[in-house]
Amino acid sequence: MSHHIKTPLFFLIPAFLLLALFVFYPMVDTIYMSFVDQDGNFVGLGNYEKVFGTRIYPLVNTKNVALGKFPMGALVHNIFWIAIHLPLCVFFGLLLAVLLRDVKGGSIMKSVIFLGMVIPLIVGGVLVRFILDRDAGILNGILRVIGLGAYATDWTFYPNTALITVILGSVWLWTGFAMIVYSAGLEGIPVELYEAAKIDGASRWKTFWRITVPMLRSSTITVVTMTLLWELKIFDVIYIVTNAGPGGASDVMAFRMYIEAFQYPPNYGTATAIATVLTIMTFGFAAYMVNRMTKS
Amino acid sequence: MSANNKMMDWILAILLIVVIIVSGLSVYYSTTTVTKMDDNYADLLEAIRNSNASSSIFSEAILKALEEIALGLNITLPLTIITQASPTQGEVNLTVSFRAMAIGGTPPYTYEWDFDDQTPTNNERDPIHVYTNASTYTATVLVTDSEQETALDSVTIRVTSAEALTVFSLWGGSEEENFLQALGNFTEDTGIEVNHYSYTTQELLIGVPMQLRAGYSIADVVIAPWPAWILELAPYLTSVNDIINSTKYPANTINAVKDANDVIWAAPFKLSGKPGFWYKKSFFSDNGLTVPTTYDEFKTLLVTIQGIAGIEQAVASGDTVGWPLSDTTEAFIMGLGGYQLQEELITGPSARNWTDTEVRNVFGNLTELLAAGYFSAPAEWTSQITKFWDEKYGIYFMGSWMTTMEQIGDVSDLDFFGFPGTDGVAGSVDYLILPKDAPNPNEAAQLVEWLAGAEAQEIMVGLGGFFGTNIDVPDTAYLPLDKKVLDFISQATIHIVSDLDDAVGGKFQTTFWDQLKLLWVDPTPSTLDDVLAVLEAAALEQQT
Repeated sequence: MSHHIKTPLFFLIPAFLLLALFVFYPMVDTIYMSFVDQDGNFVGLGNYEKVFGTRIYPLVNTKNVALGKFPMGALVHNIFWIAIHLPLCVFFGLLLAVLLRDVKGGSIMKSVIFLGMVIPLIVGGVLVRFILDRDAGILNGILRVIGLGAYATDWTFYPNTALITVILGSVWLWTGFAMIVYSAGLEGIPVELYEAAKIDGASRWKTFWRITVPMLRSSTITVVTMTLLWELKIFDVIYIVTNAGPGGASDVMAFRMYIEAFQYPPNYGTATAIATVLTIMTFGFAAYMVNRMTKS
Repeated sequence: MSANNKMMDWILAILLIVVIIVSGLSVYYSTTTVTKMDDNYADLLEAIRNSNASSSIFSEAILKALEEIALGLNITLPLTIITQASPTQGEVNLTVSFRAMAIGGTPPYTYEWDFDDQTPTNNERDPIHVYTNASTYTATVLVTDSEQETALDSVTIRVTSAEALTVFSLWGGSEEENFLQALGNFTEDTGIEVNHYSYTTQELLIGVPMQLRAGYSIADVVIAPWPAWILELAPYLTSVNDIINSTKYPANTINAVKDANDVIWAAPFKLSGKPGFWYKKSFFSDNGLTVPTTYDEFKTLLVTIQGIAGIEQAVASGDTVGWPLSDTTEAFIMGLGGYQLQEELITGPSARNWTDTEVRNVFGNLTELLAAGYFSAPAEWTSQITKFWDEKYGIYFMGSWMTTMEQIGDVSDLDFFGFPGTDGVAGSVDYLILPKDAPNPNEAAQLVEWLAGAEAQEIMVGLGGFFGTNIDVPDTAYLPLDKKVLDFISQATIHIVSDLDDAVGGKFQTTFWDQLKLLWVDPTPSTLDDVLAVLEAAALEQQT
């Protein structure tokens, strides 16, 4: 091996050791534990069958999925998070970045919106809980003010509204990130493109769709990737707002994994099985998105 | 006789009178002096006793002088012993210098010191002793003179712990205030400071086992109402067999935390009962309502309350993690199915399935009332007390601690009725557990012993809302409404049964709570079937 390769490798050894100890070894051990029972006996896919097929909070409740009623299972709920939270964050992030671009006081507004990213998620969860409270919540307050007080209710208490309202209530926690990334992306678009479009008589809408959006492709990939990863491992907000209830109607995979691992008596087999499923999903999405990012 | 002779006679007579008067006055004043001297003597001795022991040389000189004066006045002083100690308070491993000063009696003297800490007695006059444990001690010295006359004196030494004890519990609000008051007595008695930390159910249920399994404990004492959870944690706990006298408690409270080898893993502290539905007497009388004696009358009462202007729902439903709903549900189980049904469900699927017809009938009745809208949606349980007291709800199923809640404006206006026709009441015991890795194990054991004792429990019951588990707590210690609850649950027709989810514990408990929340907000037959099926699966998993 040439000296030019040996020396950098030598300096990378400490980092590799740390990675091996704190990342690779736990990862391998987690996957191993997902195939054994509490006594260390190999059970094959037994733990996976359990987490998918249990009557108590399965990852996919096929019966309820068919009926279209909650709880549908933690994995399905995570998909709901992605399906609702992701487009809303991308949309509002882009909208706010565009609206506040050249506005007086725009940077102050952006700072305020970014607060959602700065505060701990536990605190964010408490705020969401208060927003949705029947008596003290601003959501119900707004409904009462506009004459829709009859619809004011305990949004997080009912299985059909618990998950959706938590998702909607937490959009503001992550929108700040999307907004900041898009703001940076907008600054990177050459002004000449807009000037050329103006000269060619393109409308604002056409300019936006034909120039702004395509030029923000890499920013969009970044936002989508990071948001998706956040949604797959969401835990704090659920823990505080609904505790995955009622009846598991707002359960998510990270919460289920936590309960299996830490609530006495712990079941590390099923907990690591859920962790492995979550890891596979995360790796799959991340690999696809990074591939798109490098191609773009 | 000459005039001179007559004058001499007068002079002698006057002198004699003067001598008599002076002698009489001398006797009077000397007696008074001795009497006053007795009072002053006692005051002086007391002053010496209370003086700073660093002035002991001066004190001793004073006593010496008193002895001389007494000798001079031919007064025999009684044998008295005065003790001094320095310091009289400090942290553990406190080195105290004692000094015994004897006066009166017939020297020589012998001394015997008892330091009140189970160490051997000491025969020195001025011993030095080290106190190694936090407590309040009464060091006593017995002095004996050569005539075998004895005198006794004592001095209080207060030894505080270097670190305060840490106690975890679920209590907040008025419950915590009451507990802190009782802890204050413990600190005063022993010198051991105690810091109390209030935790949520989730934090205690999950956080404490995590710490203990990691071989670490922040808490010296943990107070929890879950016997099944306690037994699961037994490998990480110190047994209390040597700390409490198990015969002082009802057998079922001990048996719940005793393993197959008769090792007791927790000490019973206070008992709370879930007697029934609480109501405002004035609300009932103003609206012509009466306490129901049958289930049909109960349903009629709900209909009537629901129709009263200003009432949102007839029954308030509390929420936190779910225990208020489970308490209400257990009242239905025992009220409609009997206490034995509850006991069978606690035993598990080997005794009773959750999908059995009898269980389904009980839950069917509950679901019917839920579907009719008589129960409010679950909301934070203490805020529901406020609304109940503001007459937004008519009745509220809650435990005996209801009488201590600050939201209750006037306890004399509060009353309760049991579930009509019930033969069982759920009781929940708060247990004291000692983690093996407690930072201050000896002091923690002292605290557990004290809290499990009658003195501490009498203080707690006197503050209201709970019952003592120690049989030496007198009935007279209870407040009137608590006594009424105690009388109700002590009836021969009422069986006190363990709280169902506390007794089963584990993941079943949180599943039970969570499923009841679902049933409460979606009380349909299909949801009921799903809930019972999940509970059955959870009970089966728990049992295996």
